[in-house]
Amino acid sequence: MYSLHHVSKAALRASSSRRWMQTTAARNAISKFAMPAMSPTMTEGGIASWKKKEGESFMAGDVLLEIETDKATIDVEAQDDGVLGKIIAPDGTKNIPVGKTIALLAEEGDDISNLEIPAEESAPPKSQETSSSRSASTTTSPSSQPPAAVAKQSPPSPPTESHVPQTSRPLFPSVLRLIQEHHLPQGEIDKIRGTGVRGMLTKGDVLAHLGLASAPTGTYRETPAQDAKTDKKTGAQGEKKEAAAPLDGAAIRRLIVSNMLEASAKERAAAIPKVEADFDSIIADYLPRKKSVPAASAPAASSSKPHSGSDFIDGLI
Amino acid sequence: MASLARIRTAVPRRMHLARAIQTAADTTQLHQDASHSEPFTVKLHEDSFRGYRTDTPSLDVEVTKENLLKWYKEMTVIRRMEQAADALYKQKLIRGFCHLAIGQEAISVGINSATTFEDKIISSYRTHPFVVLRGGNIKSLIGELLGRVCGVSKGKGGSMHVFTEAFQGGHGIVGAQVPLGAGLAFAQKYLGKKTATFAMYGDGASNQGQVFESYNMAKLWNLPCIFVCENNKYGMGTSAERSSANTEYYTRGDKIPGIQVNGMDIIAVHQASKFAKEWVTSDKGPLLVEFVTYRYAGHSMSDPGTTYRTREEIQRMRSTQDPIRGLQRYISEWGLASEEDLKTIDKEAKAEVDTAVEEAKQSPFPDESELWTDIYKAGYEPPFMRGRDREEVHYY
Repeated sequence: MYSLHHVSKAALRASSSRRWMQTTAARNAISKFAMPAMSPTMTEGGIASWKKKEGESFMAGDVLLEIETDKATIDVEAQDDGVLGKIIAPDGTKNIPVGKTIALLAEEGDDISNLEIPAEESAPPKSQETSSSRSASTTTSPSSQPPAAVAKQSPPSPPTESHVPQTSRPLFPSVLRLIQEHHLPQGEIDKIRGTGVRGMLTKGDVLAHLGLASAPTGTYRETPAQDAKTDKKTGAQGEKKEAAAPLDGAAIRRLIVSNMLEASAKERAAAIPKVEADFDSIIADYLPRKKSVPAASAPAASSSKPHSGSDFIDGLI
Repeated sequence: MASLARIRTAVPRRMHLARAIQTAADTTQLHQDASHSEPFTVKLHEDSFRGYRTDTPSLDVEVTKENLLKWYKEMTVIRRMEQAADALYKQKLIRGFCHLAIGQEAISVGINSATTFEDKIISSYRTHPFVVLRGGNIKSLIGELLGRVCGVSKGKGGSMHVFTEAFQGGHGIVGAQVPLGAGLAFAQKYLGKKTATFAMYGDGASNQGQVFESYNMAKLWNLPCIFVCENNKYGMGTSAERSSANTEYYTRGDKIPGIQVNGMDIIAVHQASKFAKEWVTSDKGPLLVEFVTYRYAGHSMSDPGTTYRTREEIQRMRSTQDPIRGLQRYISEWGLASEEDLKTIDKEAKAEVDTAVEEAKQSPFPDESELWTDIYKAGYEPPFMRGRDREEVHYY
């Protein structure tokens, strides 16, 4: 035992030059290196350059690669010691979503000669789905809260009327009274299209549905636009813009810059002074002043254009 | 201003002629043959402590093999857990704030090793290790960071709002926990308990006014409060020299004695914590303890950590002063365990953390009804509570 102890100590001392002190465990599993989100708002990024090559070992804290986000190029450090097994996304790859595997990392001493790229995992879309379903559920539940509150706060229905209509939107008292007076069943109320704020039922909607009014807004007509043509154009463009996908950071900046370019075009043109000048008026600045020229020489000079045109040559030839 | 920071790092840190504290993690010497079953004595490096208005703790420390291996396991688990939190944040499963204590593990493990669960520990927000050491588990901590129901605060608190029965948090406002800690010590003295309070803060919070108010009250009323300054040399992005006129944080207590401790050597931290607890529980009044340590990561997950210090500095600290590496060296050199044993501990730690993370991920998010609970004590709520906007009203 004693000798073994000594031997192991000697072995330790001999191997101390090699970096044997690792805080990581030796394991044979290959770990996937996913695209990290360098900021909470980052959704995708590009790889600027890999700082380590395949098969190269690294220590915890070494820079593995540089990631290009829409804001900046950021270094990504390694958390553990290891060896870069395989690079899946090479330099220059763009638009990699956060969470996608971009490399395989291995431990020191692992066999990395035949690493295969794993099948694409469905983790990123799953997380997006769960987040979108969560956001959908949170938006519907607050809307169910206010009608509960309003139903409690609204005046009690007449004792003869036991039917309280259920709507996903809050009910105006006038609308509630109309519904109850005319005994509208639930099925009909659901069919009425609301033209109020956020789709709420208005009195006009109910009256129009009952046939007691011609339209939800009655006889009120909006004044027609001054130029029907431009309205149609902006209307079409507006719809097109809404139909387009929501803009991300880079696209917003491009939009802002192009708008600024258009808006400033007039000013930029105005900054360049448009001088109505011809050859003679420019030359007149440099020609020697005539003695008989009065104070208002400019209009006189311009009126005597044909003469000054040939005069300057006289002295030269 | 960033250029100034770079110039500063080129200047050597401690230029005074007095002996400086050393912060290597592996300078403790074996005094007698390391016994595997009985406590044995080790001698700390002579520059492990510095004292102000007091003698420093003894350099001879009695340790046992089980303790050293236990501390090694704890520190490794904590390191793995923080790295797992880092990876989860980068996958956007953890959102919001996340302040990691990678590099500072020796402090939490060391303080925990010298205290019981009766002592109070209150800290700021770099406190994930304390949750796991003081009664929580990895699943509940990671679950809290992920915002799931299995978390210590039911997923509603997040990284800066973690508490256990034996750990008093977990506080977001910088330096706000120090007066709370003094109050906890006051309660302990009032109730006649022979226990201590560790009120912890960082070098960035050490200049807060309420910290000095707490010093005054603790000294005036002789409270059993240990003020612990975790000096990791950077308050967010500001180095200690640029933020504090007096960077000897252990002298800041004026009349309160203080000691400065090498926070990267687990044995020194253990000895200092034991010394501090004995000090305050023997009615000597408060004590200031400054642990000189280092964090490898940035201040939080949104800070890369390299804009105010060089990568070489971080790598140098990692390779020469890592607390886990230092303890590993002790264990190997003193023949307490072989390299394979330690690697097995590493593997177990990694497996433990991985399983806990997977379990935490399976836990659901809190139900909508949880928005209205834990605001008031159950049964004492007002008739109604307003939510996030005007229409959202909850009736109890």
